[in-house]
Amino acid sequence: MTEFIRIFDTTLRDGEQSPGASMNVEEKIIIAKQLARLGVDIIEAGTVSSLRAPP
Amino acid sequence: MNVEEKIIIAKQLARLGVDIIEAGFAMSSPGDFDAVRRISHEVEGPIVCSLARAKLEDIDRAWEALKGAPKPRIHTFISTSDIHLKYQFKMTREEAMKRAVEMVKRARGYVDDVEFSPMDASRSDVKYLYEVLEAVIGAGAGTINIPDTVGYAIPSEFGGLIKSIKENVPNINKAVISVHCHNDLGLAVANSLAAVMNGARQVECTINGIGERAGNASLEEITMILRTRKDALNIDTHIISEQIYPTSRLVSSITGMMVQPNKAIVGDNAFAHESGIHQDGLLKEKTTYEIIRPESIGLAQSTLVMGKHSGRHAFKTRLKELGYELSDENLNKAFERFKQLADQKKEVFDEDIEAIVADEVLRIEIRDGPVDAAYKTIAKLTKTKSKLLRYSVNAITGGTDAQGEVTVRLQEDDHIVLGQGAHTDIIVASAKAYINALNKLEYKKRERKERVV
Repeated sequence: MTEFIRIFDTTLRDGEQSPGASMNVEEKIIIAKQLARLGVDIIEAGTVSSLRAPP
Repeated sequence: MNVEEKIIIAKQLARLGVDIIEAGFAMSSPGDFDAVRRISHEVEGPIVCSLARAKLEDIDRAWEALKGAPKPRIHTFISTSDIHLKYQFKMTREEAMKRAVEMVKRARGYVDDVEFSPMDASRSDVKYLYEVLEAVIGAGAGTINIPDTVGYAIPSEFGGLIKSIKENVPNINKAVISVHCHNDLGLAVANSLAAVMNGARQVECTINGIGERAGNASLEEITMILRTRKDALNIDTHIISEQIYPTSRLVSSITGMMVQPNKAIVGDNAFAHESGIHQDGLLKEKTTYEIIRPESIGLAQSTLVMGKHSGRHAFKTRLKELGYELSDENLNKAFERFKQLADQKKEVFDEDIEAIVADEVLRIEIRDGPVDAAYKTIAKLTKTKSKLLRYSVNAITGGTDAQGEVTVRLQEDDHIVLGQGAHTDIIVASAKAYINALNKLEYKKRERKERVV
């Protein structure tokens, strides 16, 4: 049987760390809804501290 | 690209230190013939190669273009997969093998350096593939190139194929194994690397990874992987890595193929660290988050600010950094235009210099005038202190009435934003994009202030 891997999408967190790619909350919600339609398993929606923490 | 543009790029590839330049496909058009002929005769250093189908007229035409060149190579190919042989070539396996051997021999009658590719190798029956390779090496091919023509392979499998070729082709030690990978699944570089780790010693690749469909393996990525991870791989290239960035800029500027900002090695953001924790680490010690020094690919922040006080020497040096070595006559023309521009503009950016060369030397049309006027007016009204890093226009649809989409990249202090605007009038689209970016910049500045508070 085919095994599935989980897709953890971090476009809204690590993706946003590309210079110039910042999004406001409304834009993030639009993208998050589309990620849900796309079928991702987990959405990393952001960092809740003021300093953006990477790994 | 026209022949002049190809020659400029070929000379830069020679400075970059590539071993072989495939300059074109002499049979395919008079322009390609001319490019192969001139590059093979005028560009010093690398071997210069012409592609040729496994046909008499192709091989003969390739030789016509290469005749008299110091380091000529003929690269001939035929498919070995049943699917290609049956539907495209309408040949049996035996016929294809016979043709391959004959054409390699024909090419060897002209040059010592012959490369052979079994097209669609990764989808060919391996037993038959071994036989073809043995036969063409016997006929005198010094390089056998294994292409993943449709970009279908995965690294473990492609590496395994190279290993099995080494183990099963009896005369393989008389030839160099080469690979040519396409990027349809984003694996061109990974597949090439797997091949190298299994014995391939020539990699076919392109600057910025441009090429058919999703592109080819990218030269800068292959080079910098081997250079950065010499500890793990202990294999290197002859590439002069400091020439990578100038070459990337030159190819992008001449072809009009933009490099995506997050492209490895040569993208605008490849060395831009945005996160606070990364920036903090970098300021304390560069190697905390930086695995490649930007200077090692020729990205040193130049200390020469180009403006109206810059002389001919500084101008010539900067051109060289951007990948242009101009004749004295062209240098003079470009320098005059540079001086005129520097009178009107406080700082002359690399993009300006590239545009001058494009206009004066390559005669590519450049934008000028009304957009600049609109931007100056907006800047004056908004009193912005931002710097315009990049301006680009794309047509959203075809036709002269298409909507143009303008993208601008602005920087103020450590904020970088992108703005976009679309309109059938390119000046309106440009203004919209600029205002959009300025708004984003304000938003970011306010967000920062709130955070501090």
